[in-house]
Amino acid sequence: MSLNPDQMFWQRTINRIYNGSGKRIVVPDDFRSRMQQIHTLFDNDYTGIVSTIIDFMVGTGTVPMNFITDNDNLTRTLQNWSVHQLNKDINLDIPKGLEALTTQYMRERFRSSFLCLNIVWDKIDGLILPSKMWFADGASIIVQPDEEGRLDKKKYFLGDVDNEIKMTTKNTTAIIRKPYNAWYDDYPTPYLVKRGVLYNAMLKRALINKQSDVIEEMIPYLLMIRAGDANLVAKNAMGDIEAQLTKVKDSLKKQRMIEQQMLEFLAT
Amino acid sequence: MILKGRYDLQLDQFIPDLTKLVNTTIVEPVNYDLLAGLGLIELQGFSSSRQETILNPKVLVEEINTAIMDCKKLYDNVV
Repeated sequence: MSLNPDQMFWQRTINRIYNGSGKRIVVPDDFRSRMQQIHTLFDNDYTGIVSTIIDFMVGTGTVPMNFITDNDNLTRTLQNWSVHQLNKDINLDIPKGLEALTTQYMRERFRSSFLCLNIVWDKIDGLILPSKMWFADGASIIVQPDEEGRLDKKKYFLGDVDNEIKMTTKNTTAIIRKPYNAWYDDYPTPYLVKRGVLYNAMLKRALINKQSDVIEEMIPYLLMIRAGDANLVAKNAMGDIEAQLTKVKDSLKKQRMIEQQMLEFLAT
Repeated sequence: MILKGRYDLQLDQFIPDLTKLVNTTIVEPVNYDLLAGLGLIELQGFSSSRQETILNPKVLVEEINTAIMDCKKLYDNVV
């Protein structure tokens, strides 16, 4: 069956809108690509849901923590350390105290779920305590598994393979945790991927984009000016119709008279 | 853009019904899946007169509690 020109026009328009829509929504397999998608989602949350709830989880998860021991002096020292000494004077944009660190823990847990806590030890009030603690960007960690699959030979690097994360050095310690994965997993599954949130967020983005594509494409057609609109008569926008009609009638009468005169002339 | 057509031609007679494309029912299930993924499980049918939805936050709260306990354990390892 052949299409008429109008049908062909709409066929072309719809094809243009849906061009490329055959792509399936696929959550990437590798950790780094997943993290790129998650960063995009948090940077500009097109779902309007995910970032709000994750912020709520981070906010409610950031609870104050107290140290209580049998020794009052030790309790006081640890309290002072956790509130005033930890991460003191690192930089003007780094808050001090354990509570700020807990916020970072929660953020990293719900983003990459790859927690790498770095600790620098120092002498504080006569005790060896962490003077600096921070979580590395989980998305930047590279894992080098052991060929034999041994857990104690697995290596971790930050950024590139020249920058190995050492478990302990003279005054530093690093601790890595993957809260949602087995010990033998090299890279963790980010929380949002594991719970299907990233997939649904990508699906929602695709749907919203498609809707906006259609609307953008259709708006010019909705606004087009129609010639010969029937509503013009109702709105009295076509001028004096009675006068125009009389004019047409007169013209027809005149034409008829001319025709009759012609016929009479031919008959004579 | 000017359309030349019959005087009684209406726009909706040749442009598809766009309301179907922007209907909220398209995105609604995805929103519920997002909420469920984040631990807010939808419970429906608490009223016979109209549709009501209640989101049960138990899974979400449990997730936050687990995160706090894990964080505490991590600090216990350090100090």
